[in-house]
Amino acid sequence: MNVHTSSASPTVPHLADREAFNRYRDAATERYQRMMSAVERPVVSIAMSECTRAKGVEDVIAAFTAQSGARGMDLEIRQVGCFGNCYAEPVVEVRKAGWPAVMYGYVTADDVPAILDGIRDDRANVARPLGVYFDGPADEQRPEPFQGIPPLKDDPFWRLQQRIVLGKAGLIDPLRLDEYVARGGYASYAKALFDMTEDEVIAEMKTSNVRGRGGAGFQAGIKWESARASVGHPKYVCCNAHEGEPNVFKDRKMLELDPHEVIEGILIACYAIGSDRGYIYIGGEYPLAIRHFRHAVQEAVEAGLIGDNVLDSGFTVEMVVRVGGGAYICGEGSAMLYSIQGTRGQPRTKPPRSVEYGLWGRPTVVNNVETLANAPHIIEKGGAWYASIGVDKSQGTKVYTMGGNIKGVGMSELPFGVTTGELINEVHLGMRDGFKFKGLQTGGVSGGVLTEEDFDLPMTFEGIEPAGGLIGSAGFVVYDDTTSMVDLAHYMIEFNRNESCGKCTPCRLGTQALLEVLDRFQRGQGRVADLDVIMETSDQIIKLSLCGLGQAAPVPVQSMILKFRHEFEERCIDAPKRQELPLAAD
Amino acid sequence: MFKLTGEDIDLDWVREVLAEHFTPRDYQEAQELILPSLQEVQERFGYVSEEAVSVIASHLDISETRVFGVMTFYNDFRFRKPGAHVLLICNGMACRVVGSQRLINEVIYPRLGLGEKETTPDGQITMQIFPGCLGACDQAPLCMVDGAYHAQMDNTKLSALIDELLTNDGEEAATTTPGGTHA
Repeated sequence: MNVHTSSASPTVPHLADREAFNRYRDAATERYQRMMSAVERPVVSIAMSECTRAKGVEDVIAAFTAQSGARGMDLEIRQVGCFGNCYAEPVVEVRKAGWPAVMYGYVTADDVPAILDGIRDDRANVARPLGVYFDGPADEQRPEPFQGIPPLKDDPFWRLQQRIVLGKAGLIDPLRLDEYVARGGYASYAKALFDMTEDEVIAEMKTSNVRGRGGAGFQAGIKWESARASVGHPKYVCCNAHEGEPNVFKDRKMLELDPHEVIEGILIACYAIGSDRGYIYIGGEYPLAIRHFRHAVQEAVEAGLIGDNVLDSGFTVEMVVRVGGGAYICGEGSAMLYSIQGTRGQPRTKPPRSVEYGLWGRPTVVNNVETLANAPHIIEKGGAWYASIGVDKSQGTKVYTMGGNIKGVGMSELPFGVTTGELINEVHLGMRDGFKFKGLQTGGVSGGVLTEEDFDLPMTFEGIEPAGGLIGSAGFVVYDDTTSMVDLAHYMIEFNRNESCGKCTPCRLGTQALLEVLDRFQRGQGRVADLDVIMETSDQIIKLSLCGLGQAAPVPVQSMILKFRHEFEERCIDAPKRQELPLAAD
Repeated sequence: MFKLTGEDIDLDWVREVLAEHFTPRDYQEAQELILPSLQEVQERFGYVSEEAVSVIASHLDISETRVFGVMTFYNDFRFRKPGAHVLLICNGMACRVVGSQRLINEVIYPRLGLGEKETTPDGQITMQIFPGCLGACDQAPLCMVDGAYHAQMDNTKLSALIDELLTNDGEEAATTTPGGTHA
C-alpha cells in the first residue's frame, strides 16, 4: 500500500547550482515517468480541491485506501489538482500498465469496489467513465477493456481546449515540487537566470503579446519594461490573487492545483525587472489555495530556488505571502498595494502608474495570477510560439470559469477566438435539462450581458465589446429564463454599493442612488422615466469614478436595460404592460 | 465606538506569537504586519478584542488608531466573540441564479431569525450572508461552515445542517478550524 499525503511529501534537497538542479530534475523526471507509466503498480489519481472536498472526495479516498488494502492490491493512490471538469467531480483517473489512462467521474465511495475490481480484472467500463486517453481515430476499434468508453479528445468539454497554464492540472500533486520539476517546472526560471539577459526575457514577453488576465488587458511585457526602466530601488513584483469577484474562481483553482507555476512566474518577473522581492496577495476566503501556496513557497525556499544566490547565479530573491481581509476593492491594483502596506485598501488616482510609483513608492509590477503563470511557458517555448495562438490582438489562451444553470460548470482553458456559442453550448455542455438560455453575464460583475444573438462573436478582448461584453477576469454566469433581470440588476448594484470603498463621490453616492431607484423597480413601483435616470446616472458614475470598480459598476445594469427593457417596464406603475408581481424578489 | 471585551483572548499567547513570528525588521515591515497579526489573532480566537489591538499596536510600535482603522475597513474582522460555528451563506451571483436567495428567505431567516454577523442566543451559530463570492461557483448554491464548504445546498440539506450545528457542542468546529497559521 502506497498512499502519500502532504505530510509524506519527500524532503527537498538544497540545490546549490544549475548542475544540481539538472540532476534533481533528471531524477524527478525518471521517478515521475516510471510512476505514471504504472509499471510497478496501478496509479489512482484523485482530483482534490476545495470544492471536491465539499462533494465528499475524502470518503472516496478513504474507500480506495481501505478497500484496496482489503483486496491486497498494491496501488499508488495519489491526490492531484483538479482537472477543471467540476461538473463531474469527484474525478478519478486510473492508470495501469498496458492501459491508456481512464477518467471516471461522479465517483462516490459506492463506486470504489467496481473500479478496484475493474483494475484487477482488466475491465475499464465500470462505474461512470468520462473517457479514455486514446489517440487513435474515434471509429477505430479500441481494445476490449475500453469498448463503450468514448475517447476524451472527442469529449466536447476537452475538444476545443488548449491547455497551457492549466497544462499540469490533474497530472501533478500540487504539494510536490519534484512532480512539478519533472514536468518541466523551474526549467524556464533556470533558463532565464543563466541563458538570458533581463532584456531578453522582457523581449520575449513583449513578442508574446500576453495581455493582463485580471481584467484590464494591458500588455505584460510593456509593464515589465517600464518597471525595469523606472528609476528607484528596490523594485517589487506583486501577484494579484485577490479575486473576490462573484463568478470568478480561476485564480483559486490555479493556486490550488499548480502553485509552483505561479511562483515560477513571479520569480521570472522579479529577475526581469531587477527586483529582489515578490509578493502575492491572496483572498482570505481561499484557505486551501493559501495552504498550497505557502507549502510550495516553503519547498522552493528549501530547494534554494528562492533565497540568496539562487543556483549560484548571483540572483537573490524572497517571496512574501499576504492574505486579504475580505474587501473586494483590494483586487484593484493600487488598493491592493495599500492593503499590503497595512492601510485601508483604497485606490488612488493614476498616473503615476504602479510601475513608477507602486508599493512603498517603488517601481512595482502588478500582474494577475494567470498572467504570471503564462510567463514560464513563454520563456520555455518563446514569445513567437505564444503569439501564434489566438486571434487579432488577443494572443494565447484564456482560462474561463463558468457557473449557473449549465451542465458543464467548471473551468476551461481555450485559445482566444472560440465563439460565445461554442463556449456555452460545446465546452460547457449547454443548458441543464429543462432550462432555457436567457443571458450570459460576462466579466464577473463588471461586464454586460450577452444574449443568443451574440453567439457568433469571438471570445477576445475586443470581440465581444460591441455587444457590451467584457472578458475581464473571465468568470461567466449563464442564467435561464426564470431569472428576473430587475432582481439581478438590483443584486449587482447592491454588491457594488456594499463594496465601494467610499473614497470618491460618484461611486459612493452614485451606486446608492442607483440602488434606491432599482428598489422601486423591485417593488413594482418604478416609472418609465426612471430608466433614463438610471442610464444617465450610470454614465456619470462610469465617467467620473476613480477606479475600475466604479467605472464598471453600472455597466451590467445599463446592458440589461438595453437588452431587456421590457422587463423593467413591466415593473413600472405608469407602463401600459404593467404586471402585478410579488413584492419580494425570489 | 465599539465596546470590545476580550476576556477569553489569551494576551500572553498573542504576545508570544507576535514576538516569534511577527517581529518586523523595520518600520516598513511593521506596517505590512498589521493585517497578518490581526488575522492571526482572529484565526485563533474567532475575533479581535480591543486589548488584542493594543498588544499588536505596541508590539509593532504603531498607533492603536491606525491598527483599529485598518481593522474596521476589512469585512472579515469580527469585534465580538462569534458562536461555536460560523455559517457563511454565499450570495454571489452564480449562487443567486441557482437559488441562494431562496435558501436565505425560506430557511435562514425563518429558522435563525438572525441579522448579519449576529449569533443565536445559545451561542451556537453566527450567521453571515457573504455578499461577494466564496469562490466555488461550480458547487453553487453553497455555504461554508467553519471554513469548510458545503456544496449544492437545498432547503432540506440546509435545514439539516442547521439542526446539526444547533445541537453540536462545537467539537466539529475545533477539528475543522485550524489554529493560527503559525500556532
